[in-house]
Amino acid sequence: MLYSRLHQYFFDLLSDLERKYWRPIDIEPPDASLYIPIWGEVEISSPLSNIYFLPIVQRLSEIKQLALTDSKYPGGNHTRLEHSLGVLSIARLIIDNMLSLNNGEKSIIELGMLLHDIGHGGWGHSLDGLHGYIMGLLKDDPNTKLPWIDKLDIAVAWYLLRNNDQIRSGLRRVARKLEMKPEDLEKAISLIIAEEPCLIEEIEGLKLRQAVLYGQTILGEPRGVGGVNADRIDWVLRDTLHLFGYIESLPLKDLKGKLGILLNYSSDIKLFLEGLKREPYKEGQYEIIKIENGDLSRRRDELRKEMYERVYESETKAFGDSILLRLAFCAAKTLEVVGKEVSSPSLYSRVILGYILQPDHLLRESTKKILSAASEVLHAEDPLREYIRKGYDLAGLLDIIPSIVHAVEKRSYEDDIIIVSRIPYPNMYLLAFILNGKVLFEGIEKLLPDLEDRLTTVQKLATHAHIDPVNTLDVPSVEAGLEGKLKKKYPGMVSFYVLVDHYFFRELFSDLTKLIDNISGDLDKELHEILERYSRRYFLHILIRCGRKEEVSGEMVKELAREVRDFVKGRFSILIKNLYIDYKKLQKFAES
Amino acid sequence: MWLLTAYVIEKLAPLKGKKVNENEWELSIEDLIDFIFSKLWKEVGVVLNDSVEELEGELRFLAKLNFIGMDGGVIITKDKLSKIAEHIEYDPMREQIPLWNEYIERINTALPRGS
Repeated sequence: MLYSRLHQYFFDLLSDLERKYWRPIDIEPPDASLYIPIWGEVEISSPLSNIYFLPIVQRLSEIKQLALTDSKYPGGNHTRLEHSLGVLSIARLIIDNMLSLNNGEKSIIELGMLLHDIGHGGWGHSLDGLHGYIMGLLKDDPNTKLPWIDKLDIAVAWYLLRNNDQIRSGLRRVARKLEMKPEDLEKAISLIIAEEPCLIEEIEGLKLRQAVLYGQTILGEPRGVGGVNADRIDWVLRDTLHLFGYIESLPLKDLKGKLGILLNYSSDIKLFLEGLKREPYKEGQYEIIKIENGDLSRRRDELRKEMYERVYESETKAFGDSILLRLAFCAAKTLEVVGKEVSSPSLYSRVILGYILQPDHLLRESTKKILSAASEVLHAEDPLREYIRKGYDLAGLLDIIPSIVHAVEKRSYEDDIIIVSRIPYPNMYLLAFILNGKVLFEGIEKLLPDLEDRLTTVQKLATHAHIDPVNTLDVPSVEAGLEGKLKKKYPGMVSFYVLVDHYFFRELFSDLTKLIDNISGDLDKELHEILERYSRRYFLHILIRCGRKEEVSGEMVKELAREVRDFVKGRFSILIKNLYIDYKKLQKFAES
Repeated sequence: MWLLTAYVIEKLAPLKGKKVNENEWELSIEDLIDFIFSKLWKEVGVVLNDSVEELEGELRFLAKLNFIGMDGGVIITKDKLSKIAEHIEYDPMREQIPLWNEYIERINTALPRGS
């Protein structure tokens, strides 16, 4: 009976996905005249309208660009559709002022801009920590390509372009109008989204290749080629505008004026425009757009860096995001458990993908429903099932996220541990400890004195945890072990929850990658500095649900915090040792 | 991703390269580029590098760590490279993280056979 509730949700999700976002839409859409902050009017006419009005695309109007950020910055509730139109606008400015393209080439680039975020679901980048899990499900599909690991949204976009009937039928209509093969159009858009110039050989026809290269270098900044990066220009500006009101929204008509809004640094406008070059690529075969002068790029990236530190990956946002990641992981795993009983792997993979792709509000409601039903039927057969079951305890937090975000800002410190002692929770309250990277890296230089061993081990940790933080850190077992050890000792504590800030590992991975670009330096010293920096950075959130707050004294909280830290550190030291295995020694040992 | 690039070189060198001595093989950069950008992408759908320039940066990094030597357009594998390959091949996380395993499996599938 209870399982049948889960079965019902499973098939409801499948049915919603098919009905809303998979079924082909057979209508001739109207032209549209839209208006967005910063760039002003955006015209959508045929053939772009064949794609713009599809429900799977319009879904982006119900997905906030910055997920929970509006809890702290109420202006930050703009959507991925607005951003996509912003990127389209920048591309049009460049196409109209710099390039001589026919309608077909222009439409291909415009479609690439409009669809570049189609692989995103609700809760924004909060769920990036699921990409290893999601791609692990989709990998068996013969159409699934595997871009490198930090590009889940691109992999999902490719999957949708090749498998989603709604998009495919829309693209077929567009292809007919452009008098080109639908498979060429799909490939061209996939490659623009991927921003991978090296993959150009997939496309036949010089004109099409040129459109793809222009599209790639307008949308992004492919390594080794450079580019305009309209994507980053728009989100940096748009996020800054909505959150802080820094950018004046001036509907200027000319290219210089519009690009002049960039960062409000008027002296950079001329340099930016002069820096935009049409360049031959690969011995003059094709052309790309490249920015030669780095001044505006530098300013843009300074603003980006500031936004990352202040907003995107701030400790409060990371706290909220780690809750969302936990809940989505538990709900998706529940769907997998149910799916294995009632359907095939390809079907339940599609249901889980459909769950992730939902707009924000539907994602919230379905997560609560799924976890509520799961909590009644899943039993603590193993740490993973218990981890999933306990997700329901945290689902109630979805209704009070803003108060949690603000509660986390009131904190105290004990031996490097952040203590947040008054997080509201329905009928109870939560205590939180936030641990820094010392629990991972303290003592690693002594354990692995050889640079190559240390570098390999840290790189493996960063890579694995970037792909799948929950499994890499074996969070369900850590949580079970922590609860088993400390619950009896502290009777006021009802339940323990371990949550991971996946941004920590993404950034660690990125900083390790930068070592490659600077090999003239002292690698030992640079790795040491990275480990020092990440030892100070907070990444692991331990939530403890308490009975009555009067049972928990200040001294007890401090003692508990230290015990939690020591336990986690012990578990992670085993993880680090397991990551570094000297197989030759192991072999010799076995032989002896 | 230099760990996987190291793994590819270690596996590809005996299949496409020339043996120098007991522990060292020569592999042309051209063969590596062909494998990364043609075989991996076209045959098994894995994208490890954005560009040749990025791959060359990884090669310089591996050379600095003395996992490989570089001589013009030729890569010379060093003894230590096999240790990195073992880190990938026998990684216990392959079971726990299916996607990580998938990268390695697809690389193995793309490797030429019986050359």
